[in-house]
Amino acid sequence: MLSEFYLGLVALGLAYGLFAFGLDLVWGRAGIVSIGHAVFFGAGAYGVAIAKVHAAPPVLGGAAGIAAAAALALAIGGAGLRRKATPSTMAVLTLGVTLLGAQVATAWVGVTGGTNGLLVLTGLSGAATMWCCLAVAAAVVALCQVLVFRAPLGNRLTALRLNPQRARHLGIDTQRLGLLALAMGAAIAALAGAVAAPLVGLISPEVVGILLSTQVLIWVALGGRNTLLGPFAGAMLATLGQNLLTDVSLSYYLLLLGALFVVVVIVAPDGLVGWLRRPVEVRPAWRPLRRSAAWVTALPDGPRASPPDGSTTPPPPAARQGQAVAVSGVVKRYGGTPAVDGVSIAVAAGEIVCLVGPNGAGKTTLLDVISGDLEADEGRVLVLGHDVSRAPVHRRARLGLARTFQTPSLFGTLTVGEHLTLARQEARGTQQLPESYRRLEDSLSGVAAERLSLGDRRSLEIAVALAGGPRLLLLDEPAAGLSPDEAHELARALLAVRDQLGCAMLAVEHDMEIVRMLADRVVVLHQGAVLRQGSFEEVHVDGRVRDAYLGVT
Amino acid sequence: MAAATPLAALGGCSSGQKSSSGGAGGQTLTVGLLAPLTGPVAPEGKAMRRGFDMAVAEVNAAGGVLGKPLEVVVEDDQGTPSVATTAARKLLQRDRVDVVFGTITGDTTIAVKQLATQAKVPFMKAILDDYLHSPLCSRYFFKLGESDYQLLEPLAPFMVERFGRRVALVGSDYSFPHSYNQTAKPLLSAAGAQVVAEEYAPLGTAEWSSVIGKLKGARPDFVLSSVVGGDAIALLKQAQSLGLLKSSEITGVSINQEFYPAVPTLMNGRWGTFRYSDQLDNAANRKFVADYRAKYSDDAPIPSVTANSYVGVHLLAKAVGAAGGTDADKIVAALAAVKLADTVYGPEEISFDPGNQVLNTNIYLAQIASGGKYTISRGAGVTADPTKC
Amino acid sequence: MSDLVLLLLNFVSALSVLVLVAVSLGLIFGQLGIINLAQGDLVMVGAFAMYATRELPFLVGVATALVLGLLLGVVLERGLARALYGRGLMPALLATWGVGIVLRQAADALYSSTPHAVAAPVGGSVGVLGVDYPTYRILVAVVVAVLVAAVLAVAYRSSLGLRMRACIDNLEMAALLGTSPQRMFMLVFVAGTVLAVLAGSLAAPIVGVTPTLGLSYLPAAFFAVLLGRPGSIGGPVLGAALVAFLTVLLNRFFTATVAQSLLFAALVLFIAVRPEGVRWHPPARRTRPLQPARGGPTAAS
Repeated sequence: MLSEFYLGLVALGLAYGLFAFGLDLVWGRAGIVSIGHAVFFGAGAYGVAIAKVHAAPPVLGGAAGIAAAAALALAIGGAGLRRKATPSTMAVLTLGVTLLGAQVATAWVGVTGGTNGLLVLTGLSGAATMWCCLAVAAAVVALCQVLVFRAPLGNRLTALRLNPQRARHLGIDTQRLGLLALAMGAAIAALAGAVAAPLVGLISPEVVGILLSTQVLIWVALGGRNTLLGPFAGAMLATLGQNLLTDVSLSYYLLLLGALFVVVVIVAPDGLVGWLRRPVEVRPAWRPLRRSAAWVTALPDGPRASPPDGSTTPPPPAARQGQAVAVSGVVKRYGGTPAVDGVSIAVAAGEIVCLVGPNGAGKTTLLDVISGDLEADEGRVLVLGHDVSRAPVHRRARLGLARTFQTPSLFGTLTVGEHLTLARQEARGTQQLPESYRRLEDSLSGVAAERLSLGDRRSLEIAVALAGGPRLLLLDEPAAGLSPDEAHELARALLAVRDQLGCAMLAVEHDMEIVRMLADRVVVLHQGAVLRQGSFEEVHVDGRVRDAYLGVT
Repeated sequence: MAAATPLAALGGCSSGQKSSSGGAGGQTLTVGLLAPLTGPVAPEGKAMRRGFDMAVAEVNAAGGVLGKPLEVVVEDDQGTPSVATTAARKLLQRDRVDVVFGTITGDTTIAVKQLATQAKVPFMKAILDDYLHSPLCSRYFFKLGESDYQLLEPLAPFMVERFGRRVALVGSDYSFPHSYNQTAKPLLSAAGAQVVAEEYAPLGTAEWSSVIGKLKGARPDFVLSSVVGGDAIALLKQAQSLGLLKSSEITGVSINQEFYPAVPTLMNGRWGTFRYSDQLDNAANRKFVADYRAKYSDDAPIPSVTANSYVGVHLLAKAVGAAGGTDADKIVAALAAVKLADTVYGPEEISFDPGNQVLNTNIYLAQIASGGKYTISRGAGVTADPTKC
Repeated sequence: MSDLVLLLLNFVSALSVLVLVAVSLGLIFGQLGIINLAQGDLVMVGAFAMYATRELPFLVGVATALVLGLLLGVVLERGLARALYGRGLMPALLATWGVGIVLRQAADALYSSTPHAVAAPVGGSVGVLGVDYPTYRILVAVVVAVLVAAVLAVAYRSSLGLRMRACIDNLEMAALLGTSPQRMFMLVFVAGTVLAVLAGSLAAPIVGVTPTLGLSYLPAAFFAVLLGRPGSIGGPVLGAALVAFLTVLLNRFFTATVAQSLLFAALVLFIAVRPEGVRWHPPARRTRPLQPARGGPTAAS
């Protein structure tokens, strides 16, 4: 008969597995760094322990712990997932919080019992505890499978993890999404802590500390990130292994653990389960496509932000009718140097404008300001009639702005088909791809983006942009690196797109042949300012333009 | 009884045997040794194990318990409560031991004591602890380790009389030093002392200058230190270099034989109280020390916990022999009543205090001398721990 | 007055070891994008090197530590860091934490966790502005100041430093201009390792030498690095100064535990509010704008 002891061990493994599952949601799926996840686990455990000490129902204590964990996660995420933040910000924040948590748990003796801890030992049998843990774990996993990992939310998490920039350009509010993932992952970890409390027996500061935080990381890495069973497998293996191996290898166990950290990262980054099968990254929507869930990422139509200078004059009437984008007086500085120095241009609906100029003229910077990847220091940006000067990237994307980059910004490991599924998911309506791009979908659907040729990657990026039915398309050197034939093909395709979809385009381009084919109007930028605007012929013969290109000041 | 045991410990190999059938209720006494064999307190765990192993070997060489060899199951608790809980459950549920022996840290002790009590299995702990302020009362729990009260009660008046009334307290910031000082304060004021400073620093503090500055500012006659581990070495060195030790004496948990090799000049001549030293001059101890040195080829001073576990196993063996069986209630009753004379502590009879089951022995006042040896100044008699269970 | 002088001396002393650890961490993080969680354990290695050579003269011990640091740096760079470049934050965090565990376990296996000590090469105290302060601490402060000045000089005034900073800013460009990235990485990683080990060897006479010694230095060094612009070499110096200042100040008015908690809290808050750190520009030489060549273009346009 499987003794009490082994049942209890399996129960502990399941509880730790749930903890790892919570971390996997944050790290494995959303790609958010959390190296202090034990602080959430500890919140749940202490919640139950404190409740027990005060003779309150442990369920209440556990719920309080879960709420506290979620609140803490929102606070951390609010700070660490902002635009200006880097992954190391989250690393430092979560590390700091876990150190602080251990400090508080040690010092606040009246509440936490200090290092002597709080006893939470029930009289429950091993079998009962095991079934309880199994039920809770199964329920959480099932709930997540139904509510979280399905489209659209699951796909959005994948997008966030693989390429937050491209995710934003698809219209996903990455900050809110990250907050949601972090809060959920924290709540699940806290639930695991609450369930594990009677198994751990004595709740002391070690349940919130850095050692447990790093252990759970290795469980997830070992078992396999971004898989359903991986975190459980890793945690179960570690828990059983620790107890069975210590009979054999006492002091070598810790050494083995250290080596395991290194080995798993270097040799088996996909972990055990990940090694067995590639996780399903993008799922098709299981209901007919409809408007994206408003409460998660979308915003109501027609935002009316006030101009940054505080004036209340409405945008000029012309903007609402015909202009796809209008920037006025935009200045963007790096250090002391203005990369864009007072630029005012406009692109009419359905017009193709090419932005040219020598290197360092500020073309990409201007594009960044329009798309929202950079915020201007001065000036106004109007996109499709809306003042978006302070709006984040995803808001502009939702208005109908799409963008490509000099180096195609895609989800490397996702296939062409998965890219288009994602793009369509975020689109405001179904969009049939133009003829020239349907080939991609038909013949290369199962190929991962990182395996495509540069030309195909460029096409994929444009296809992804088009799948959203944009009204304004920003292109950054779309012909760079292409052969003359491919470049011609591209220009023809873009013209066809404009004719079919009626979207305006603003393209930065160096290849004058392409510019001649494509442009309704050409804008020449030099040293951050507009040197000349006009048709290709007008600009081409202008002496000042020539001088600018040749470097004669 | 210990003196009569033949010298058979040399070939001792009794530890590490696993008994699959266990001994619950049967005639073979199975003891589960739960010690931190890895982790930060591993040195104490290993020291405890040495005494334990020696005693088990002697007991078995003399015919074992109830005619059968005493069996041992060893578990590593790594000094952390979660591991200790699982390991204790393993001993209690899977191996079904008759007695649990061990734990070093305060938190693991609390967890294991609870589990053992719930399982109605006797639990013996060998290392020094604070019993007054920790939830450790249980009829199943037998406290072999000396209590900080027993050590502080003779120390306080001695220090006050010899060095002065002004005392500064300093400790690592976790449960034990806080309890230690809580126990010390009434004893100090009863001796006429005045606490002029009380400072704590988190575990892992390498830089003590600020704390030392505060202590110096209070101008204490002596410092009572419950700083542990590497922090204690840092404190002592920096107290010396920053001039605190020029004007103040220092004593307490930090002044012990384990740290002597690191800072010998700082330790020489310092005072402390203890229950056991390998310098104690009695027949049982001489033999014990000789056996220990031979078995482990170790010349370092023998820590108290080793002696405690050694004596503890002999107490247990005698008790179970008297009980006539391995039934838990019988063992508990027998342990509560067992008396042993001619132990390594000295010729006098020792037993567990009926009120709180703390082992009552003589305490001695001594100075640490070169080589880390204790030079005994005088005996302080037997002090009972006032914990009421 | 003497109170203030003592505070200042404590500040200088606290800064000494911290700044070395912070600069070493910053070098590795800035150049290689690797947050090395084993940096504190490298400090521990330096301390144990001193313990292992305690019978020999102090300088011999330091030299041993340096050699050990060099070897360890080369081994770690070749064996581990190479596999981590460009893999992102988490693999580096996990792998370096693993290295830390291995180092701690090795130290524990060799020397046990019983604390050890190392004697200072000079004892006694010296009067500084009316306050008696341990001579050795003053010595360490002086040595560290010289060392940091040397590191900064190399970084900002030498061509090697220029190439290193170029690599940090734009690796491809620097490579195109003739700097071998492989060699630069190796150099930087080894420099970072050696500095950390050196910090440990200097700190050894002041602290208790245990396998977990390094963990005490890690959080403060971490925060010091992130207070500055990622990749800057002078940034960690400034950051360390700020952290040391806060530490000494907080410890003056609060208990050690509260001071440490407040420090953690302050730094967490700082990073939360300003994720990009403190702007710090190295002293720049005045630059003149480039003049175009005279005589107009000669090539056909």
